[in-house]
Amino acid sequence: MNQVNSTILETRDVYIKYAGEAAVKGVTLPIYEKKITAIIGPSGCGKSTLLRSLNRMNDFIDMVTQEGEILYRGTDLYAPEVDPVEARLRIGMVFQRPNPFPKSIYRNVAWGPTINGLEGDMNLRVERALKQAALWEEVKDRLDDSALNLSGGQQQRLCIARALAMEPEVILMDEPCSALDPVSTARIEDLLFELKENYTIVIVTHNMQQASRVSDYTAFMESGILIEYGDTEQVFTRPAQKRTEEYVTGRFG
Amino acid sequence: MSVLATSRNRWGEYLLGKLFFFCAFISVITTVTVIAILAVETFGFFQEVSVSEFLFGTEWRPLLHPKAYGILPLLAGTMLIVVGSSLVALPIGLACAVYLSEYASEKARNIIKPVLEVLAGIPTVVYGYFALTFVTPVIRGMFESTQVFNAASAAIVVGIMVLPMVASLCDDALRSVPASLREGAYSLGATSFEVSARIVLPAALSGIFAAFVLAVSRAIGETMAVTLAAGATPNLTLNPLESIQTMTAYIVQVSLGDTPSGTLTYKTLFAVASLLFGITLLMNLLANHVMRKYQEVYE
Ligand SMILES: Nc1ncnc2c1ncn2[C@@H]1O[C@H](COP(=O)(O)OP(=O)(O)OP(=O)(O)O)[C@@H](O)[C@H]1O
Ligand SMILES: [Mg+2]
Repeated sequence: MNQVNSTILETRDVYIKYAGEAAVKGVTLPIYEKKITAIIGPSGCGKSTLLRSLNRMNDFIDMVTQEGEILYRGTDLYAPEVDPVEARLRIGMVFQRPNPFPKSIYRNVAWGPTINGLEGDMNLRVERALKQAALWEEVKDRLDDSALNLSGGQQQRLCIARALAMEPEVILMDEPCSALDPVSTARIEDLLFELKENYTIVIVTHNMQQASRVSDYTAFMESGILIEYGDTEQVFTRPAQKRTEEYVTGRFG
Repeated sequence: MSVLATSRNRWGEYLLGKLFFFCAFISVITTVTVIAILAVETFGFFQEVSVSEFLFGTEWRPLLHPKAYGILPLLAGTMLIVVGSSLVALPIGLACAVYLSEYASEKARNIIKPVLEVLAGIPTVVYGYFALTFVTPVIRGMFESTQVFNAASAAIVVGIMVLPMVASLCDDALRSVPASLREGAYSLGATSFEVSARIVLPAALSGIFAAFVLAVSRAIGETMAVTLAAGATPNLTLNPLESIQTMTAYIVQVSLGDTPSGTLTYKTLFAVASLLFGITLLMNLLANHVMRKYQEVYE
């Protein structure tokens, strides 16, 4: 943990409440640039809630209130002068269930760059994103087909391509493999390694093997509290907290 | 014992099945009878008036001499009301629905939705009265040549009348678009407007279209408010400031008078009704077709 890492995102003593009921309690967590940070923990412990706060997706839930600070490159993401739309341009998201738009494969990938008026050759941009998401070979001959005709695994890679086409700095992934078979999961894990070169990734996962394989840092949460955070190898082999050890070994079976 | 219980259940189910079949049978029989009567009387009408005079004649004067049986004035009157009321109800209703489903807070929704339902429950006579006492004077204030009874006033109140239904049905269609699509769009840096206009609206298109068709059907069928506000002058015109008569308004006018059955005037009722029926049927078929096409695309 004492390497030369720069912090791109940081939560400071963050509390998030649904109608007064705290789902995230006092979490302080740094996210390092061009690293993969995994968030693990039992169901309902607040992983998704915390993740969604990082690109202001909780704004759409009426009853959510939040305390504490979330800093993106040193500026408060929730400051009144910050435009959440602008923030989401830099911090993209891939969801638990693939949610392609009911449009063609091409238009799915091109949609974000088009509405945001990103410069450059759109065909090239789409091709690059699909290649990065390891989907290009499978769809290059049918870019005008509906995205809904793809398999679940292909749809999820399309959603990753869609996020990549925006060239964000950070990609938040909420259990991106939970709806996928082992083969598709393996492909997406390979993909994460490649994406690390250029992107900062935060991934929520229930799969301990996945967390230990792909991530550099791991955060373990329970009941809204960040129990432990550290180097992935350390968290999985020499956890500082007894709760972490129990959870991790229990989940490895 | 258990065997007996089972068979008793089956008996109940058998009877219920018969009962439901009977209900379905009655509604089918009713429909068939209505169509048969319409067909017979319409056939009788065309024994005396040629099809081409009916469809292409420009004068509708079945009650006065010299008689004329051209449906075009009634069709034009109906079109004026349908187009005019659609211009009011469809855009405003859709905008209202977009506001309700995409922008309004839960609080605002809880106030606006019941207001819409109250609006939808107002008897149509009240709308007709509203047209005569409020809308018509306003229009006449703006355009002096406006007749006391005029299509514009009727079209506007019919539009207001169907607006709550359009808003409510479109709202349902928009809200049935999964939240995950919206979130996907927002996560790509879209604004609320981009999300609603470019993701939610296209995905809800079949439902919105169905709402529009229903609204138009109601506008075609509306009689009371139209008769009160637009008068009863069969008039081949596209000028909304003149008095007109619609197909349904004509049917009511003649039904209320004491026209002896069997006369030609009596038979005009069925000819007009048949045409009305044909138009509505065609619209429903079209709606079904379009909806099925879009459903394939979006499933
Ligand atoms: N929209 C919501 N409204 C009310 N409460 C919510 C909402 N979303 C989450 N919660 C509550 O907040 C807590 C944390 O939920 P969250 O979805 O963040 O958990 P999670 O760790 O992602 O769980 P899982 O692993 O099952 O996805 C839970 O107790 C949940 O019931
Ligand atoms: Mg979750």
